[in-house]
Amino acid sequence: MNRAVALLLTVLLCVTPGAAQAASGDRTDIARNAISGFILSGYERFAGEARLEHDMMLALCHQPGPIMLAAAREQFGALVTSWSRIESVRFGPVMNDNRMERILFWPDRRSIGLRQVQKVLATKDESALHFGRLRQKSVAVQGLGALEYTLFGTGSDTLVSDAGNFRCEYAAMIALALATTGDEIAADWLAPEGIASHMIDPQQEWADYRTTNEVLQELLGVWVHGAELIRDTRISPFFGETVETSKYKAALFWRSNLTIPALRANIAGMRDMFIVSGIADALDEQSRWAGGSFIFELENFDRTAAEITLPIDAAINDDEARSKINYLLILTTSLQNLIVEQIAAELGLGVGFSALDGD
Amino acid sequence: MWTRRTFIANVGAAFVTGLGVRGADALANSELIFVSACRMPNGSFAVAIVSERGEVISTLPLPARGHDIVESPTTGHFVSFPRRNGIFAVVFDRKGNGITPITSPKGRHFFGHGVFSQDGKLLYATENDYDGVRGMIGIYDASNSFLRIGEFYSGGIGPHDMLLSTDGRYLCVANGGFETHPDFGRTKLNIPTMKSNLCWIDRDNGTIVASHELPASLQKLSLRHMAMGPDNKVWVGGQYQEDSEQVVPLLAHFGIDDPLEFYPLADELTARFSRYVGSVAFSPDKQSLIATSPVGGAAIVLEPGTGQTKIIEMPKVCGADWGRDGFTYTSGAGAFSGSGTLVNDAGIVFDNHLLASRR
Repeated sequence: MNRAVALLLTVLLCVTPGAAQAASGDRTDIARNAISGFILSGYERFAGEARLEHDMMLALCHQPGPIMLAAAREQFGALVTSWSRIESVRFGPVMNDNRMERILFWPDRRSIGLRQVQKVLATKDESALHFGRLRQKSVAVQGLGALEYTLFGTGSDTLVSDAGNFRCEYAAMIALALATTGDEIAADWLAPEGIASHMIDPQQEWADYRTTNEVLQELLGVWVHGAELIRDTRISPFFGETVETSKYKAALFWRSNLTIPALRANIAGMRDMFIVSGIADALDEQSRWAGGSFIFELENFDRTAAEITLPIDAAINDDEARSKINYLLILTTSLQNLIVEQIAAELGLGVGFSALDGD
Repeated sequence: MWTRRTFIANVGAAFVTGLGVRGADALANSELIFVSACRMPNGSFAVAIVSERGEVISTLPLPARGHDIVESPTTGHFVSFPRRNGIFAVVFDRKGNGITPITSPKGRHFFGHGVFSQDGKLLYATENDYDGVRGMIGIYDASNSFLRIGEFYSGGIGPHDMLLSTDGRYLCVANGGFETHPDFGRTKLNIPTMKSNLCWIDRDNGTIVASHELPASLQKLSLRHMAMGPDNKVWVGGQYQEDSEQVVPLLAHFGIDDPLEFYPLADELTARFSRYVGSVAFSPDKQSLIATSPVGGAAIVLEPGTGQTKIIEMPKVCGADWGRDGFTYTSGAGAFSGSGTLVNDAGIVFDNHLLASRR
């Protein structure tokens, strides 16, 4: 635990002494547990993995070669999974200043981001090598998608030699931008009188969170929208209804073969936050089965996803793998229903109609 | 999976089953009824016709979740528009009898709202040209089985609510600014670059005669729902796409020749919207406006002329229209009208909009 996390935990503990212990079934503890036990550490970890990637890119740029490139690519996997774990948290500081899209601009339906990245590389746009100017560019050229293309896309083999100098320095700058965005999000979560304190101790006079139920509704959105995110933007777009209509290039991280690992990390994050928050403990005794069912389905998802070992371009043409991917789609709906129809309903929050999925 | 054929078959079934004896009696006694899209206890979607006492008179099944309802000024028939991505609108009568589906053409889907011309001959619907990434206004001939006879450019992306000018000549469109594509469910694809605006369109030729833009500081505000106020000024409610702790103005008014001007609602009242206005409606005398927020669980009744305000607390309140002596409102938890209690015994929950219809 770093100093920042320790400081936050101290602050949180001061709000209600002793309340940051394990989930007690008290609804006011749920946000505290989620923030201190999952959200904050999630962003800290992401920023840390991005910093490490930055270091590895600098090493690769300094001494290009296949071993250093392999290490940088390996670290990209750690960076992606660290983000995927926390990605379902789609509220708070990550929603400001386009941070979500700065980290991952996806779906990129019209390949706008891809073309922009290719242009940076083709023209050796020097401004992309300056931190401040890169951050002012399109969100699509400064995130994980751009970094993946530099490391795994067409021309990435040049990274083993001086011919890849520009590409390498650009990738290093992207990693630094990612680390900075992660740091900014974590810092905003830690801000005195900021979102963490408002969620833990909601007050009528605050614009963001006035009641504990509002806070719980926000947290429940992590699982509702997380399942929707996986279904609508991660699986459905590439899977297609038939082999003929499937398109592996619509799969996130197909170049780095991280499509399935990223999905598994999405699910792992949802599972961990569910457990750490203790939200299931707020259910009545006779309804606690719903919490168990939710975990069971998350684990079903993970187990099934782990069995898809083919690269995604091959998996979509393989009957057995297609059947497993189809099952993952079904599970996303099941997960959403469990949260909306059972857990939220039992908590008296009625999530899912008009309020959470508005228009 | 609904197809046009199964859809027609199901609407046909509703002719018989939609209106029970008790419902028929209630309807016979009602000079004022309310109509709203809803979700049934079994999770299916429907349109509900409700008496002013909150009794569900009849329901008509829908293939997908509905959104707004409009009434023909001449035939008294209603049209229910589906939420975005939906391709079936439904025409039905006061007794809940389905009359005909309206199908959006290939490459288009509905966006939840529409409006009739004053003579009732034409129906206009906000639609998405999702491959062309532009908002469209579909034109349907109400006198000829709602045949689609043309379309206009909406003046932006993601058109949502639409009104007719007082003289009936112009369409006023709230382009919410969200790029969406059915390949990605309801995911908003362009948050970093989204741009909402308000356009006045000449019905005769589709010319955009006025367009009101937002200041750069409110780039993330999606202007979505409107009501015609006094002096031919339209009032609009927005939804903000960042999790700012700052209060962002959400209520504004404008005219065809009058610039967009935000109403100076007190911050503590604006905060009650939780950055989300779901519906707006005016009283017939144009002296009172109601703006609702299912996210904030509150509606605010405002008299623009005097500045007087009243807060109504109701979890998930959203649908609103003028009833007999005041505003009637509904909620995503199934509540109807001012009492805040669950008065419908059918177990249905209401979608975001409510239409009052008088004989």
